[in-house]
Amino acid sequence: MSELRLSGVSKVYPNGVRAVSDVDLNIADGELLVLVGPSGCGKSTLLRMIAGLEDVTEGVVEIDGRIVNAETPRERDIAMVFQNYALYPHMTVRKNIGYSLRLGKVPRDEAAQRIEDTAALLELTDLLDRKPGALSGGQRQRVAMGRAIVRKPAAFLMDEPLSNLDARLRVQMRAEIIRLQRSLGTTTVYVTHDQVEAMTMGSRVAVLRDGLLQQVESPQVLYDHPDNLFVAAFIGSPSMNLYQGRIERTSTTARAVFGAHSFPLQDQWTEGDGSGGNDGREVIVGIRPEWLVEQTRDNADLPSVRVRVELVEALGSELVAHTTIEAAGAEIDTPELAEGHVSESSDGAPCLARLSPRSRVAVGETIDLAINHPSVHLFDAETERALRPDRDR
Amino acid sequence: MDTATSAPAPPDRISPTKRRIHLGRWGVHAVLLAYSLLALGPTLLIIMNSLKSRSAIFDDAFSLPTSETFDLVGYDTVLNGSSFDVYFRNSFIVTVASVLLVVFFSAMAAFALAEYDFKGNTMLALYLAIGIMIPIRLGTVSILKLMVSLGLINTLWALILVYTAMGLPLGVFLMTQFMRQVPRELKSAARVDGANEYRVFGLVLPLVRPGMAAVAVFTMLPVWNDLWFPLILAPAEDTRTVTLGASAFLGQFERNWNALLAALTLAMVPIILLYVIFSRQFLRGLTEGAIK
Ligand SMILES: Nc1ncnc2c1ncn2[C@@H]1O[C@H](COP(=O)(O)OP(=O)(O)O)[C@@H](O)[C@H]1O
Ligand SMILES: [Mg+2]
Repeated sequence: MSELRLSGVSKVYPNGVRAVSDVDLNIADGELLVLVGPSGCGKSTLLRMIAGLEDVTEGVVEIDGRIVNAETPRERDIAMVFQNYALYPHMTVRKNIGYSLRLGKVPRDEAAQRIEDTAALLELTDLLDRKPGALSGGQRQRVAMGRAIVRKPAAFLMDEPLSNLDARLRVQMRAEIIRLQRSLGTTTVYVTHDQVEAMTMGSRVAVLRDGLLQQVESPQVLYDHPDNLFVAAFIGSPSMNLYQGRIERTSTTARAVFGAHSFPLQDQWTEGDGSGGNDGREVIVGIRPEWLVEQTRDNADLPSVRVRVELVEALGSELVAHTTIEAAGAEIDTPELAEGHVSESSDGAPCLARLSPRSRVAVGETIDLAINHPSVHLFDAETERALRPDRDR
Repeated sequence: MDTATSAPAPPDRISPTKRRIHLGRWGVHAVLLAYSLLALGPTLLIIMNSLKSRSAIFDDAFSLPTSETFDLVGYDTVLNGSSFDVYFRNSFIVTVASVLLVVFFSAMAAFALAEYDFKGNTMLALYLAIGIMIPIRLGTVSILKLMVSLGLINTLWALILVYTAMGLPLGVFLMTQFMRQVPRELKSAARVDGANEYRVFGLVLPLVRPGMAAVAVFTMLPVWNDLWFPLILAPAEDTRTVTLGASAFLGQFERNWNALLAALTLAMVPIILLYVIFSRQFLRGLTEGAIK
């Protein structure tokens, strides 16, 4: 059980690739921190630096206040679970799990007992004498977990441990890992590229992009108050609708205008010196798909947008309407986020809406959707940073 | 659009393609068969004639031994009239020791070349590869001088050392390819589990067994068959190898064909045995699908 602390950690590979830049991160004793970001953003590199598998180019890695930059993985006492499990193919499950104990000179009886206990915990008892080749994907995954757990290490590092499993097993193992982590109380860094996994697993989630830490917060705060455009687009599924817009402000009112639409901004935007400081500021307007509802008589006073329905996905619990809106879409240059946000269609930008399953929308119709939310997200078009009325007014 | 129009292939176009593949296969087999005959022919000739009397060998070298021509005099000479047991032991020791050293050292060097990013890594690999192209015999004079000053002339060590040097370049080259295929995460997992570099190396070894078997086979054959270095470095009676011993039957004035052929036939047996052992390892490594 320990605390991990990264200060100004950077990694430049010998070939000049800057995989991680100046990351500051504290992981409290017993915490499960999820590190999320699109593939290639440096998650594995960061994890490998914590484990001691990769030299730290700049910065300091501390475990329990002890600077470990120069320590070997062996000295750091950290266990790691790899994406492809990395089981030793020529050893039985028992030997795989017990390998670290054998190297650590744990007495034979105690080692055997700990292997048995771990196997029981992970329901691997019947498989102890099999080799990895004779196991299913889920079983291999559990062996990889067992290999980490049996050591009772200072911390677990997990590098996309579930991404090779099918969807059902993944959900099941996700719960399993959370349960294990809680009961063992071991400090854990969990890496994933899947934001849904990140949101469901972490008490805190760190978002990484191109080696730069974007925001470290609880899932709810990330969702409600993304610090920048990237986090806004990355967190949430389907992801946020983003449009190029502008703030129009008078001494008494302020609104965000995007395309043919506008959204009145909260009073805070108009308070203060009344100089109209933000008037004409180029912004990006973000609207979550789940804020959009069918316009009815009851919500006629809400601001609304007019869209053309292109496709409707009925998911049972909800309807996801793919529509186009008369506005210019905002682009983010990360391929993973290309889902619904690449604009460049002649008749407007895409707009996703999560509607109630009882909504009656038909393909080809032009309808009005009300924005059932007190505010929209605003980002500076230049810096892509979130604008907050209390800060950027 | 070309591809669009030609996409729905008419059904009769499939069979000619298939036939061509069949023909191609037969062609390949014919070539391989011819090559096998070419390679096996002399061997069979040696075995056949080693079982015949001297006059029968000269009468008709291409006929099988019959009850009249059957004669084991050659084997008698080899097994009873000379110290071939010593020669066999020498050959065996030299071959096995060289193979083990080559396999072990090339695995170690290959691990370093494949695993560590150090300055001059590529240069070192290239330097070692040069050894594949330049025959070690070019250095015979220096090797001889070296062995003389080391006092190793007429010892098996002289041969073992030279053959180890001879086998290493190709060994390192082959092993590096195999080492590269071991997934990086496997080695990372071992390090995180507390393995030091020697342990990691030990963990990787079973996974590159096919490579080690291949290196063993490639090293073994030229060592066992070599006549040059035994003649120069260890021609003494008690350090003679089989090949050198057999060549003694090719005297300047008289040639004991029976004994020569019998010696050559006997010399094949251990090498075939070794080959079977190593190639079994090779196949087992492949079928195990160890590296995933
Ligand atoms: N050993 C390496 N040498 C050079 N570049 C590397 C190496 N490993 C990873 N990279 C590069 O560093 C970046 C981050 O990689 P990685 O940490 O594996 O990302 P992630 O795990 O988030 O997918 C990528 O651009 C990748 O190409
Ligand atoms: Mg990765």
